[in-house]
Amino acid sequence: MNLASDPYVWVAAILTLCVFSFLYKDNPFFCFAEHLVVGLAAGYTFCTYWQTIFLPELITPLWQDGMGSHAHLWISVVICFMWACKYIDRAQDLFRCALAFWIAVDLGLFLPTTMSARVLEQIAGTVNLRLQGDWTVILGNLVLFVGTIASLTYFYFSKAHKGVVGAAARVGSWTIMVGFGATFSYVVLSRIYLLIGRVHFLMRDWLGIVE
Amino acid sequence: MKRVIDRLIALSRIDRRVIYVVMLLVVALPFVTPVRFRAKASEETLRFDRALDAAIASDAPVIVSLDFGPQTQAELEPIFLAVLHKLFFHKKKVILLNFIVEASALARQYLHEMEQEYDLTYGEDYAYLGLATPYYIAIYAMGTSIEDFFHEDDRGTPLSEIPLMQKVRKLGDAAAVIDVASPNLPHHWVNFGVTPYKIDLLVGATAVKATDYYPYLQAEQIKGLIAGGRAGAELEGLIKDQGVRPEFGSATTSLASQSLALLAIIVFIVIGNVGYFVGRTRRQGRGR
Repeated sequence: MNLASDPYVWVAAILTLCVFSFLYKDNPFFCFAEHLVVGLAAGYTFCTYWQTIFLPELITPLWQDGMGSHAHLWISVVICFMWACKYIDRAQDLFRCALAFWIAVDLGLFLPTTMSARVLEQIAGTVNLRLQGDWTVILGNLVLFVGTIASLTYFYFSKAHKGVVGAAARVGSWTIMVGFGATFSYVVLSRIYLLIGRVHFLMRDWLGIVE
Repeated sequence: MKRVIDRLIALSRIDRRVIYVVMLLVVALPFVTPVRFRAKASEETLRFDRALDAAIASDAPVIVSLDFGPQTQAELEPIFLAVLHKLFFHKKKVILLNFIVEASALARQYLHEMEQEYDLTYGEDYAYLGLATPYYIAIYAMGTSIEDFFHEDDRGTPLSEIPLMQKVRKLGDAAAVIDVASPNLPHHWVNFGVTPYKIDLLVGATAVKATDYYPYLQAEQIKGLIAGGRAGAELEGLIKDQGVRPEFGSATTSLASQSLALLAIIVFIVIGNVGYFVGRTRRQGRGR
């Protein structure tokens, strides 16, 4: 055993144990670690945004040439203050205007690209089946095609789920369940990896029993 | 028989804390034993590697987006480091950026290590643009001009004074974009990078997000996908075989723990289900 001499490693190890202590039951050590993480994350995020966005992109240009080439930045300042109006009862409309502006910009950006990337391209990817090459690829593509059609049928409620439609909906239901199962197994895999990461840290960096 | 059924029912009601201790043991034990596993590269990992090779073969620099924090570091760090080692080993020029706040410190740390190992010169071999936010506007804006969005890099140097950035004025000038991310950023890269600007996108993701991105791989909207620690171990094996690294990385070291942990989970699921069904059958029998 070769215990760490770095105080930061000790802090990290003790906080890791504080968080793990929740697995036994809720306790003050876990609460302390939880509040510390939230506080640190909020402080770190604020400082990073201040240093990398607000100061170089807004404050400094306005300070240097606020009435000249950077005058357009005053629009951003006005919108910032409109957002802050959320906390003033009489000025809620200004806040709503800022919100509306933001939603409009987002919609303008997202609608055409999402329609293309997540609808049209996906339809093309499903319809353009490659029925050549390895039999596993062909089978996979057929399963994908049939599974997609069957899953869509499952959500088609304008016709009663009887006969062919009912059978297709049942296949769709199974396909969706297989999809959920795959997602869930990946979630378990990811969480196991988080545990491995912390255990490895404790054994290697803190206790020094693993190289 | 009755005793076996009683035991099964009792096992299915085991205290969750016992399960946690067992999980801790099965994860920790392989680290102190000489047992080491090696992951054979799957077709997806080979596809990712081929796409990476194609980007390396191009003359243009590569843009790498680092978008994970300490939360998912154990899972994504092996992928990110394997990619970075391969790029710098082949003397590929790299432009790094990140969209999440907590990735900035990690990016500086990794680049410092790479700079020392491969004797890199900042501004010529690599550049770090720093934090870009909000992500979707940043990606969309970089499609027409990187300099208009990032006026200066992470060190405060104007982009016009960085030689490497003269070769990459916009996203389309890069050989490929590689995003190693824990949040949903690959969705936005596909939306605002791939769709309007037709860039080649390679994605490294956590296993949780894998099923979200497979449809993009199927539709060839992304050129390569590598997801989770197991895939990271596969990539580590590939780059070791290619002579990029002398030894395996942390993902391969963790494979035995991962396998044992999954085995333990399967055993617990089987015990829990058998106990549940046996108990239900017994209750129904009593009901009659």
